[in-house]
Amino acid sequence: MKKEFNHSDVFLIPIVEPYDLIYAPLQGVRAVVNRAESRRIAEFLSGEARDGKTDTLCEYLSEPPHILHVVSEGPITRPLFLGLIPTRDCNLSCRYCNFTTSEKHKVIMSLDLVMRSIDAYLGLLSQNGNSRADLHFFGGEPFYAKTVVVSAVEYALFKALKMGIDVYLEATTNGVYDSELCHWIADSFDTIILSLDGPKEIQDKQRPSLSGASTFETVHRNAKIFSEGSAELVLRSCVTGQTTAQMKEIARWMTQEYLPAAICFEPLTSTSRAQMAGLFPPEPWDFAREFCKILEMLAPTGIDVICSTVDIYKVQNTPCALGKDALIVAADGSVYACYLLPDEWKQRGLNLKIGSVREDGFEFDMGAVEGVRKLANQKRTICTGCLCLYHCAGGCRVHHEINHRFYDDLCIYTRIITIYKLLMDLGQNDLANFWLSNHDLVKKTTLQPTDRLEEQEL
Amino acid sequence: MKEIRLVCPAGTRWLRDKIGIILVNEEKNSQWLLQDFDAMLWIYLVCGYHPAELANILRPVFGIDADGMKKRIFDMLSNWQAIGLLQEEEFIHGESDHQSGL
Repeated sequence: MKKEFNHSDVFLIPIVEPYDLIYAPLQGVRAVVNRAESRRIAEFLSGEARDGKTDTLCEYLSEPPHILHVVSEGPITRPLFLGLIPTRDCNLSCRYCNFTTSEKHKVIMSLDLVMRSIDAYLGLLSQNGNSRADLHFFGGEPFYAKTVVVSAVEYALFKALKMGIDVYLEATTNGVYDSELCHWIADSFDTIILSLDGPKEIQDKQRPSLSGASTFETVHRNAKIFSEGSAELVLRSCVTGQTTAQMKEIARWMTQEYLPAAICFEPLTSTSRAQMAGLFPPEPWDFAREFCKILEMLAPTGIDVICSTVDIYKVQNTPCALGKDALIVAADGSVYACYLLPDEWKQRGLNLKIGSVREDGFEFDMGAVEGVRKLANQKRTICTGCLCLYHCAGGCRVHHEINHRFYDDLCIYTRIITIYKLLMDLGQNDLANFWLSNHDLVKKTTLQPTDRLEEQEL
Repeated sequence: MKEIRLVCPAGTRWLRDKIGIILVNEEKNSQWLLQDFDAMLWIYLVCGYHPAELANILRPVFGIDADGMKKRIFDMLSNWQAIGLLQEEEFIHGESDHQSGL
């Protein structure tokens, strides 16, 4: 009688005959083996091994998962970070951004709320024995509410020092402000994620100011200041169908002009504003291929090339903060689990509001907290057989449509880049590039309905 | 119209450390450490805030009324002048407000 196969999180991806990629994220195992070896591993793991022989790879694969798949439960004791949204307002009018500036988005967080949020957060950390605080700023453009950010940072550092807590500071910004403020940011923050879509022509077309004027010169000057500061600089480019072919050129230009620790390429998410501006998302096959070329080009430089769904070094339920007990405070004192506009998740019938900041600390709605955790842990139909299950994990719960049965654009580029990165990490550069250069092979591998070893005919 | 402003003497450099703001002037062989209120005030000035507008921002942090905070800020500026961290400089209104070292 066939024994029950109990290693369902071992994935097999055929690359090119006779080579297969074996990937077990929870055991931290990745290997390139030939087909005969794949069969032997499958037999061993199913208990059908004829010769009973084993080896190191089989032993590793049959171990219980040692990379913990942490799922938050119970009261919030280790929040991922405190996020502050000083304002939803912004000084840019990006052609694809749906964070439109209406009157209700022009509210600026009060300094009283800033202080109460930080007090509540540091208090929560201290009560639970945590010695590191993570303070993140989102918008709109957070530095458009300069006083809020400067005050939040200085107050947090002032209070945390007295409590023996280290503070890590991160902000996502458009880089359009004076050099005085930029110098302070560059020397005060640990990580700056700067949105810069590319050289002048691309930046000014996609990311003009509210009046439609050029923003390139200011962002360029400030990116240089960030490059010289102590903050780690991550440059983030939004890739459209029109700029896909220029991705490599953009990456090269960024590394020549600035000193980024990482360059992030994210494909455009289609919005009504983007459509009106004639901007559309890139073809996933093209985006992935260009991304992989950049991975190879920048590998010797030590500059990371990142995309939110392709962090293969993490094991997680979502590729973002959702479900990890992040506390994101808006200007009205609401605490959210996600930085997106409430209208966006409400339209999907979701509730991502998990509490409020009161006079004496956070007040959590534990029913909502559990609801968010459950949402983050939900396995999506198409994901269960996918090798990206534990890092992409199905992508954004708000924007990525759930429970379809076929791979969509996000799945396609995520799968291609993941496979390429795994091969490159194994030093299989020639195999990776041969595979990538053959569209039929890439298509066959990418579209296979399940990657699970147990479900494949070998 | 000529006005007076406070600037750092040439050659003054500063950096933020975990314990506070460290300032050094190699030409004068001087160094200073600013902590708590002093460090916070320094950062706001570096970020371009006028001392007069800081009373309302800093008041709730230190639990002092607006007048008390204003006095504390201007006392500190006087103190920084006394120890050589700041000095007066004449300038013509409308000229660049770049301040050496600040």
